[in-house]
Amino acid sequence: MTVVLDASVLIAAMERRETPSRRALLELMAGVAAGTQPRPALSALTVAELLRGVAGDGDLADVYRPVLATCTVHDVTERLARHAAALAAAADARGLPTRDRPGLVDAIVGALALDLDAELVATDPDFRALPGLRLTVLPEADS
Amino acid sequence: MDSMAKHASSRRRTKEHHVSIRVTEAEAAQLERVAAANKLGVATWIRRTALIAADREDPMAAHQQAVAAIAAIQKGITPEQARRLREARERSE
Repeated sequence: MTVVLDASVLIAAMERRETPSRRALLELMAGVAAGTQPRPALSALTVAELLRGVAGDGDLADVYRPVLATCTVHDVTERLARHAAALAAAADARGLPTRDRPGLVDAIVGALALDLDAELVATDPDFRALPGLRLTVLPEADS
Repeated sequence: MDSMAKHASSRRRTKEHHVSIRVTEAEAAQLERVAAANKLGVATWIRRTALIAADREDPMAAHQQAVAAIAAIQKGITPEQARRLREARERSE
């Protein structure tokens, strides 16, 4: 099954410590290398989120380059934007505190996962407010 | 950084192909039935099928890129770099 990765998991997985995200991403990439797992999918906005943080740090760019190259990047189309807006509005209608409401970038990533019928993997629990997702929220650290 | 952005742009240019196909009403109906059976719109079903086919066409490229990605994950980033990435992500929310 295709997996959509959020920026939160791509950051947690790369940090030099043993985490559930790191194990999950290594397992995923091992599956791609073995041909048993399709390439992970990313929203173009996830790439933008990462590149914003990478800016000015050549070593960091070198580490992320092969990871991004292994993923399939999906553009944000108008149809996806409309789907994301509907998802975000549905989350808003739940009346959650503002801090627990997913932002539009999260909604676009969620809409992409629904569009691809894919599993969304993140560490950010805000995705739970978006309806209909097949979602795995990985803990930041082993308990 | 610039080269990374150019690389991503280059990947998009080489991976995206926009094509038009003319199909009969019967073929269109069949496409809709197959897409519906997969609980997808026709365009999404075609796009996903094309992506799977692209991976199958060049399994060696996927293998080599994934091996490089594994090495990069194992190299990892520092806590300070992770902090800067998290802050940048939060500003994007």
